[in-house]
Amino acid sequence: MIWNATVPFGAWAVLSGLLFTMGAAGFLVRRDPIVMFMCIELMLNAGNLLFVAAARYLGVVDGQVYVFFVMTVAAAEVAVGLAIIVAIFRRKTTIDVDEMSEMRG
Amino acid sequence: MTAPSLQIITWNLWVSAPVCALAASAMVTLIAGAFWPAFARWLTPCLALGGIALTAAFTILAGMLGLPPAGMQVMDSFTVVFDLIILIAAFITVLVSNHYVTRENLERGEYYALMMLSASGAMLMAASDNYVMMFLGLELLSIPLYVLAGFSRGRSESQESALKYLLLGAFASAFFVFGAALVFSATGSTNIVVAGDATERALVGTTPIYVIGLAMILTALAFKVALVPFHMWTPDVYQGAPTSVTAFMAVVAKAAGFGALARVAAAGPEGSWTVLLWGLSAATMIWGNLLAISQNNIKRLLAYSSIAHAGYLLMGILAGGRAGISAVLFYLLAYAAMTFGAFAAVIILAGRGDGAEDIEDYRGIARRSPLLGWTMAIFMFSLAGLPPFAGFFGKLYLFSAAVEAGYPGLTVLAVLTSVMGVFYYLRVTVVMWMQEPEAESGPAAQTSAPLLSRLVLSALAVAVLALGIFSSPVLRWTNSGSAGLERSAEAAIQMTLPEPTNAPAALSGGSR
Repeated sequence: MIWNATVPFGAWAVLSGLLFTMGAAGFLVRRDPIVMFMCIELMLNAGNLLFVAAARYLGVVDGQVYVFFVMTVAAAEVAVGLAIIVAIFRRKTTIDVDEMSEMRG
Repeated sequence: MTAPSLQIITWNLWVSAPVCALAASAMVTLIAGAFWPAFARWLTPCLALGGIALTAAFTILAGMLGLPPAGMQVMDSFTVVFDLIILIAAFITVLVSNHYVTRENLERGEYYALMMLSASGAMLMAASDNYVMMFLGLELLSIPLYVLAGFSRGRSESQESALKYLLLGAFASAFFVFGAALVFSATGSTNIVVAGDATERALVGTTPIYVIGLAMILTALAFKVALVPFHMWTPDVYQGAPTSVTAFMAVVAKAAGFGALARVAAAGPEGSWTVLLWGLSAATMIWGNLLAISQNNIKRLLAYSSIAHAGYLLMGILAGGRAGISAVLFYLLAYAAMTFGAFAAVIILAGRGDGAEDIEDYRGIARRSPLLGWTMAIFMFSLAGLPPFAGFFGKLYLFSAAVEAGYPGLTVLAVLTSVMGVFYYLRVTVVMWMQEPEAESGPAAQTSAPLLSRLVLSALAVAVLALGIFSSPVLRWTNSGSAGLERSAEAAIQMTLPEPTNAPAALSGGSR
């Protein structure tokens, strides 16, 4: 793993920070809930990347184990999310979040 | 050599026994509802009540064992007090839900099972002293709540509220994960106390990263408890969700967030951290109370009122220490009683299909039903913080803890915004008692309710009064909880003291 040691930890941290920022910006800009979900996945995976990189450099396995938890939770979240999106699409035939404004006050 | 390690495993199992008991009871409820749908109507709520009672027994038993921290979860007296508050809230939710679920044809077996799973997540959040465990608790709390928010599939508001809650909730939990990853890479530990202690003693030279990570975790928790400026989802979600779910969300999800905040805040760095909490608390109190004044929908009004109460509760977290945390626990109990009461009254008043949810619909309702009039008046007075009700003593303890901790300015602000709150709470009472009923306007509010609902409503009103009058024994109980929080923080530091010294060498080696 010689190539691995040449990449400094800071590079991984910056990469994951960039991925997280891209995800957050995408979530705020896009109006399609499925794309918004993909952006959330990007944010979660940025966290996963940082966990793995930090665990590698600290010489512990905790970070790798946490990634499995986060991946499982993300899968559960998407399962519920897609079910809700499908339920809304069947009723409204649109899933644009700007159309969801029945409640005002 | 094998015997002690086996014993440690058994102790660890006891630490998570309450959460496991509630999750297992939820599974039993789910299976029973699926296999005997004909009996689901009475079988599932009975199983839910039984499961919650069993979990309470497990909690008290595990608390009496005096268990050491298990590395991921702690079973100290804070956890015991907090778990019992959550379980009481879940118990009341089942009782309050019964009438609503029957009336709105939501009696599917999974309703109570999801509610119990969500409550077990709330318990896990407050019991965890590790950020990753706290994340799992947060998700176990949230994912069932997303489903519950969209539970009345016939109403598009309900689905809309589910999608909004889901998208913003998932966004917030992504912040939590990234924050935890930052804390881990800065300190080499995800244990709340160990990570905080390592930075405090400057064992690692990465304090700014730790602070940014902690701020992101705070953001995620602020979303969950609806602190300004992370509150935008609250009114829409509270209005659209089924009313019984809204009550559960307003009490249990908020309590869970504050349980987690109490554990995190104890490890927060001085200085910038307190400024952050001060600002959040002040903004939440002002904005929540201001926007509540102009609401006409009762569920939106209660949503903004819950935001305002989150501001008061954060003041207790900011004050910290034994008095502050104890006041937070007491206030959560009082808040649970009065909020459930208000929502139980709204469930009855709104009638089939939630038609009458505007405050104006309740004109003169107190003359048609003195029970609803009196109980709603008690809940509103208590929410407004008038003596001798529970809300007054809750605020008193919170405010005095904040003054003692050296935040007189924030306390003055809290008192002023409470006065603002009196206006909109009293408006509901005035409409119900002093205005003439109008025949032509809107759908008529209902006053008839089954015996169980009326009993629950009366019991909650009595509880609000009793918590006010007999507040000192309850406060002694919550004091034991906050003392436990301090003790287990000390124990966690002593248990893992030598470990973080390896972290800086590894980190600097990596970033070379």
